[in-house]
Amino acid sequence: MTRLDREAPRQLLAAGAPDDALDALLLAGPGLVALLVLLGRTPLTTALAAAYVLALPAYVAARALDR
Amino acid sequence: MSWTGSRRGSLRTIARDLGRILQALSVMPFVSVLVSVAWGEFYAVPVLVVSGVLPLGIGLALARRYADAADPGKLHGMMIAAAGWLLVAVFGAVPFLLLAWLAALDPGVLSVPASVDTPTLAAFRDPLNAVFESMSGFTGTGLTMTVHEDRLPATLQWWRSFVEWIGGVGVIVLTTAILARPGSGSLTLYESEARSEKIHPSVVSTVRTIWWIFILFTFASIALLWLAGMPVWDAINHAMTGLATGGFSVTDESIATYDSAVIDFALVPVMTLGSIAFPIHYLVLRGDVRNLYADLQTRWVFAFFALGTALLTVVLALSGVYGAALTPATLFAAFRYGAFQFVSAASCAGFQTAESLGTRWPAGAQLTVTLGMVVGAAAGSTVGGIKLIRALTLVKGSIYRIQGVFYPATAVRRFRLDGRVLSDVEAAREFEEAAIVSFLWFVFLVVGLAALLATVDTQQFTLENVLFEIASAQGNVGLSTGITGPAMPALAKVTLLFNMWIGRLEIIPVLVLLRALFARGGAYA
Repeated sequence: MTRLDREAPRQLLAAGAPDDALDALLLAGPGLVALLVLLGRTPLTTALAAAYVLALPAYVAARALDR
Repeated sequence: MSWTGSRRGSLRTIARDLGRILQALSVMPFVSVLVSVAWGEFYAVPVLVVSGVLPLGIGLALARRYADAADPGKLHGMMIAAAGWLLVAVFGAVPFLLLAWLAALDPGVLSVPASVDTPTLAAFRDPLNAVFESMSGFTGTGLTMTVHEDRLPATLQWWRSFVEWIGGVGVIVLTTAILARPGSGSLTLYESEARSEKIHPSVVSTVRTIWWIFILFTFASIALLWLAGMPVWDAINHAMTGLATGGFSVTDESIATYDSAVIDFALVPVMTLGSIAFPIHYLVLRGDVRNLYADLQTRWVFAFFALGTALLTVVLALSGVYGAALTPATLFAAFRYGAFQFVSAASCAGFQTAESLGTRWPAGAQLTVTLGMVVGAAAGSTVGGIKLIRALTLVKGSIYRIQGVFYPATAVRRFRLDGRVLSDVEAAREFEEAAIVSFLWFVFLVVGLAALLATVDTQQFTLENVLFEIASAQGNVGLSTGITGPAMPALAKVTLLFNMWIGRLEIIPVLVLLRALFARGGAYA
């Protein structure tokens, strides 16, 4: 693994909004897609996908109210 | 360093930076190998490896040979952007070309299934078709040489989506993000790719933040489309091409395949996200949601989409396309197709739900969609077209000039634009930039119109059909009246290719490159 390979994910996370929750959402994305591919349409994957979609606007709205 | 002052030095700078763009491009086929393996399309792996090794080898050779070349100036930046986008379109065509020929020749050792060699794939044995598809993908246009998308190997379905996804943000943004080079050179190139807004003082940090936002939104879009009912493979591809406002599909009839109002309405926010400038996304993600209405362009994205949708709905409802009587069902159908097609056009995504815009929709509806394609949405997003900020500058600037006649000559007036108060000189500069780009946009629209009218069957296609197709190509939209396809004349393909290329770069960089080439070729001093 080159230095670029090791540094790229860290730099990508450092580049985003200074917020651990949004970074966590970004990191959870590939895992969610993998679950959708492997498990298909089940109540669990549907709930996880819905939570993922709702988490983004809900979190942004919460941050907006905090300001 | 001027072009005429030191051609050799300029060529070294251009060659070095084109090499860097090719190096960044080479990452894409290597990443795509994972998709071929996941789908069991092992015969496609050598194709992707060759497609990656070619630009990597040439890119490394150029970047190392001219490593000590000077940083690019504004002139070089424009030539690098124009030549770079042409080069990535050519190298991006290699997977189409190689896979089509591999399926045809079937060397045995790679065990290509006979079912792969369809007429749809065979169209890519023609290099012009392959370059057309690649240019359409990278520029986020979505016009296609693919007759039946669902009959392409998954590797090529992915490749089409992947080039649109990368192209939506920009190949120079990709290059800067991967091969970080702090300093003025990166900024010059960044601005040459029709981008100007910065999120952070450093351009390298800015492009990384753009990718951070884009990847986050891509995952959210995949989840949303899957929840709306798309199969997961379709959701992945349409999320990528919808967010990049590209419009390639993995299905035969674009989004109309699903015939689902839920999916139609799920795609509207995805395309809208792609129509908003990245700096605004960044501020909103930090909780500063007031930018959604405080920012002039973003406010007008919503207003323009709403007004266009309302107009198109009325035109469709009154023309009786979805039923002669005005019932709730026909009104809903007019709203559903009108909203989707207008947002698809103005966001420059080019997804299609209406069966045929060319033959079924009335001219008024086609022209409303054409207006959306020509204007586009926010500068600094993934969309094409003239961009809303330029249209607003022209409208407000014209009003300012006309009102000025009624004021005394000694009056001190200030031109207000997007919260900024501009002096007469600053206002004139903004107005001039918007007027020049818009003028050139219409000039090349007319040139393309003339070329296309000379080549397509005018018995089959009307003037508004041809105008629609050219506006779609130059606005990097991808909606089609049915003119574009592998059977169209070569000159028509080249015309649309050129319009896609100049449309993505907002014309001027391509003209600068062509002028330099003609000057070097001795066409004029």
